[in-house]
Amino acid sequence: MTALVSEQQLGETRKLKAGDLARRFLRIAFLLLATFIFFVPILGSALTAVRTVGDILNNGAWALPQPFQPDNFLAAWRGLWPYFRASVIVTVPSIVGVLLIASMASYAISRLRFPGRLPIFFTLIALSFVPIQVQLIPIFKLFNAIGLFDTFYALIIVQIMRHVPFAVLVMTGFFNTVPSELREAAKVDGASEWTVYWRIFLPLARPALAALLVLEFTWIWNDLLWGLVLAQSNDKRPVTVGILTFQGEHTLSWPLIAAGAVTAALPTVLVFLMFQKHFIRGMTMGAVKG
Amino acid sequence: MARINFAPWLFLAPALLICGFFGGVPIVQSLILSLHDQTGIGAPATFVGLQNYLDLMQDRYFQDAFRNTLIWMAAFVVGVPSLATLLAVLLNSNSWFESLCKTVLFLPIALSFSVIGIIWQWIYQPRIGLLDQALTTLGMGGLVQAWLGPDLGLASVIIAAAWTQTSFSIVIVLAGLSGISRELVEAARVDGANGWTMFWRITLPLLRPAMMIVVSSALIAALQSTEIVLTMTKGGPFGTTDVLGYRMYIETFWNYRFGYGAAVGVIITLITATFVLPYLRRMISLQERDLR
Repeated sequence: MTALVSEQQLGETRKLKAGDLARRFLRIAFLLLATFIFFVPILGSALTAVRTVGDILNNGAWALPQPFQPDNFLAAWRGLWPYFRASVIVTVPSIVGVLLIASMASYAISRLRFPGRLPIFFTLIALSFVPIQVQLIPIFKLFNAIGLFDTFYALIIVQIMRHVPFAVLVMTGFFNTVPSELREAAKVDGASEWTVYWRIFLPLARPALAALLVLEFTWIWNDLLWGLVLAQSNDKRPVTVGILTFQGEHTLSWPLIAAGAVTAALPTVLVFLMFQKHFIRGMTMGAVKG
Repeated sequence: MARINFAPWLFLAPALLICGFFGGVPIVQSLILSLHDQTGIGAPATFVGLQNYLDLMQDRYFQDAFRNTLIWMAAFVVGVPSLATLLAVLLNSNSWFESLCKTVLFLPIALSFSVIGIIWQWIYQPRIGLLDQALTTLGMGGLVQAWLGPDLGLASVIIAAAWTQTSFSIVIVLAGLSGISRELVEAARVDGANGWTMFWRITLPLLRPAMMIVVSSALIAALQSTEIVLTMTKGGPFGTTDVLGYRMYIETFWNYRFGYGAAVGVIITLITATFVLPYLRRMISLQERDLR
């Protein structure tokens, strides 16, 4: 009797396993297909970037390069490097500004007690949802009026303004997890508020800062609209605008345009591939917590 | 007299100054500007009341852009969260295969709309482009279409935008999934729940916070979409891919109708507020708990 039952159970387990196997196969097949579909646009562009126009017209967009033409990247780099320079000049100070300004504000919101603390915090959070379309015109007019139009300062100020709110959300969340005894002990030892922030809280926040660094780099580097509206001369325009100019100069020369797009995408893609963990952590710190 | 503690204000000053002066004040200025007629930066501004808004209601370009934006929002709010959730549930594992898939699936997040626009223009390029060539090579030449033509243009641009929006959403859903306790899932399994029941009764309800983010950011992205239209189609052909954000940009920086453009910006902001406010309220109540 017992043997019979176990036999039956055995059969069921085996059937279940077969079902599991089929399901696992389906899952993997579906994931492979989805991943492939998501990757095809990048793959196709990278392939196009090392070919010639004649090759594409004769052999189709999906043939292997004949001849292999890596020189496209040289031409793309020559056309794009002034814009790369502008992007670096805008992005680096913007990131430093965002991290410093946001962590200072977050320290006050998380650790200090003062009237209006919560309303200020919530107003800052709300600002991160304000559409750029309602800020563009007044800022464009303001920078024209005070002579900052078409300067790096304008872009840096605007990037900091747009990105501090999100960084405050992330940093405040992080500082809230730091035990309050740390600050109290330091205060007893006579440390000033600035020392506590600079010497204790900021070093502790390294994981949060690293996550924000990667995120903000990507977001600020990839901004298009502000660069388009606030920068006019070619040496002030970021690479996101520059690549559109480059495209305009090489209409229908798709290999060159693709090489330009790949070149323009390279900094953020490399940073993403190298620091994917930080990137994901930053996004989830700011998002899922809320 | 109570002593005022200056320290908090010194810490807050840079953030409040920059965000208040360059972020907050422009909202009010746009609102005021939208009640004025101003053509060009140095031109005088004349008060016209709600005339800009009334004109917008009659404006064919605006009507088309408004309708396209609504379609975009509907497509995003249905398509992006469901696709992202499906993929995230299937990806929710840390073995090498899933990790590799994740890296590839996340990659579009790292791309700017300039690059995304160029890539998808090349995909949709008539005859020689990646899509038409793939279809022809696979013997499905009959499916070749004018992807960026008046009939399919909007759908094609929305798909290009959904590419990166879905990537972003997968990250958020995966983070939500990792927060679901294993014991709960095991308990449900012991109680005999199958995969389907488990998803609808356990996983999806627990994903609510993540889903709220995915849905509201899909709505915001659709409503504020400007850059992808600017890089891919410039609203054409015949305004069939025009959207509110692009209209605002064109009216302001090409037609120099500052008051008119500001009115479009205000409308975008008002619509954003209607669905961001509930989300914001929830976020605030959570933060209040943390900050007590």
